[in-house]
Amino acid sequence: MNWLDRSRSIAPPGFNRWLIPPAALAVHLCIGQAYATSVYKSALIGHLEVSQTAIGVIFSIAIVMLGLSAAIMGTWVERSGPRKSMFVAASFWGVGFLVGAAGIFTSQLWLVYLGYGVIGGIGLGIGYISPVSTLMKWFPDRPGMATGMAIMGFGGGALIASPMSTALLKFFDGFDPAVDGANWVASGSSVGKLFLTLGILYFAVMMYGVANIRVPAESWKPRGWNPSSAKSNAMVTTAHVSAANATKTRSFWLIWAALFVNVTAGIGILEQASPMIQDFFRGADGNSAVNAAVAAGFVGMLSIGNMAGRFVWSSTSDVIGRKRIYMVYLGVGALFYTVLAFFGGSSMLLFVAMAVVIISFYGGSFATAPAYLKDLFGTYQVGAIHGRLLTAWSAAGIAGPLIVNGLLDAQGKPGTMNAHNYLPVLLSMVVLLIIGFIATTMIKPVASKYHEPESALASATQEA
Amino acid sequence: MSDHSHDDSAGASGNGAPGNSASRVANVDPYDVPTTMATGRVIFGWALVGVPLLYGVITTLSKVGQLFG
Repeated sequence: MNWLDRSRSIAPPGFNRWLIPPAALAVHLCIGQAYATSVYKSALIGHLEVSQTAIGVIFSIAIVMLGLSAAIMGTWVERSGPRKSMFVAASFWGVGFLVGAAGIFTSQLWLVYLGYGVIGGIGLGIGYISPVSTLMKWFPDRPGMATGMAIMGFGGGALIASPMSTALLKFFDGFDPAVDGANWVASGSSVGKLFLTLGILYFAVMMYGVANIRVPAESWKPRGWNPSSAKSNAMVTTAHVSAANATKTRSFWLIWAALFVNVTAGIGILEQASPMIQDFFRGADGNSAVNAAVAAGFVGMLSIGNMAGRFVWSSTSDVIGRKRIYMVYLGVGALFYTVLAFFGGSSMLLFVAMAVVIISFYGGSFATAPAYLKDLFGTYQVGAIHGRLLTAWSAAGIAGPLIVNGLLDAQGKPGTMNAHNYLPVLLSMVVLLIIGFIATTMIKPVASKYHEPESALASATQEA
Repeated sequence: MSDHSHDDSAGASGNGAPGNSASRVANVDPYDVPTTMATGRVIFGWALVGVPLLYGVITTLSKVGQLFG
């Protein structure tokens, strides 16, 4: 397996760097399936005869494992290089589906937890961070755009997986619209076959990424690009900070806090998107002007906003700077949440526009984070630092639903409420975003005492 | 869209890649060569990820149409 080593994946002269984003996207589009678990949720509830919460735990375990594995394995990913780590991610992600399929076929929920949740979740974490630092090394002139391209794939993965999984489930079940009707729910065996298919398919597509990923040779740079031009911004360093030292800095934890509140606020909308739009446009007679099909369109619109925001806002950060774009995410986000809370119910167009922009900020904060880390800590161990930062995502994945569901439970049942019932939860998000905004304004360049000495960097390069 | 240059040749595997002739000349940066990677590989790579993504976006947009329809 020597061909997986970092030393065997160094690009030869003349290598086209535009081959790297598809290799990275091949991984992120596959692991982005994690956002499409709702497709088979009802089928699993019926097949395993368990509650919604028990099925929801599968996704929660996967996201927690994502954060933990990214944080713990980040240094290994950085040391081993993208090819080996992407191969490990593909193996875990593929095997996770296969073990999950075994759990579905044998009606053993714990096997699904172990397979998709734990094993698959490790694949998620390693796969998420594997190509990111490599992309930034290939595109030092446009790191935000580069990471935006890859992380856009994580948002886009659900857009592919959702209709593809529905089509496959219908195929395995021999779906007949005339017989099965609109209330059709997939059988357990078809979900098992879906898991088998996805496990093999995703492993194959991710292997395309493994085969085509390359790292640039040491000190390579794009022709005509002058590293000193990037240094003209005080927030961009040419020094390097290790992952261990980065977590000792105040700036790391301020970015962590900014990402945490932005993700928590985004989950506030994503979690309740479908019932929320129906509740906002409920008339005095108790009937909503928005039916389930229209609400599904709204959820789709949010998915596109989530994906597009990752590329558009992260690319924009290359022009206006990382600190300013985070101030936009959090400051303008707080403003838009306020508009949504007080005026969202007055116009469908206004409601959808505000929600889509807020979700685009949610996606943008994910995609901009690695470039922000590179600006502050250099490229030395940026992948490992990124892995540690992703614990903010795991924490928000737990805190977001707890806050939203806790506040909404006190108001009534989502799907039967009105716009004013959402005021407490939306205004809570405003407060969180303002705290995040303040945290962002406090981010400063890292003190030189945390920088790696030249001798350490040179020996690390020789080892690699 | 992808011109490159390089300051040294450390670690270059150069598996038959363009630019190897340059590396034979003393004091010439072996990485300071135009990118000549086959366009077909770039197109294939982007098609592999782009076509499914396009399928997903179009399928989703067809649902979004009901939002204002």
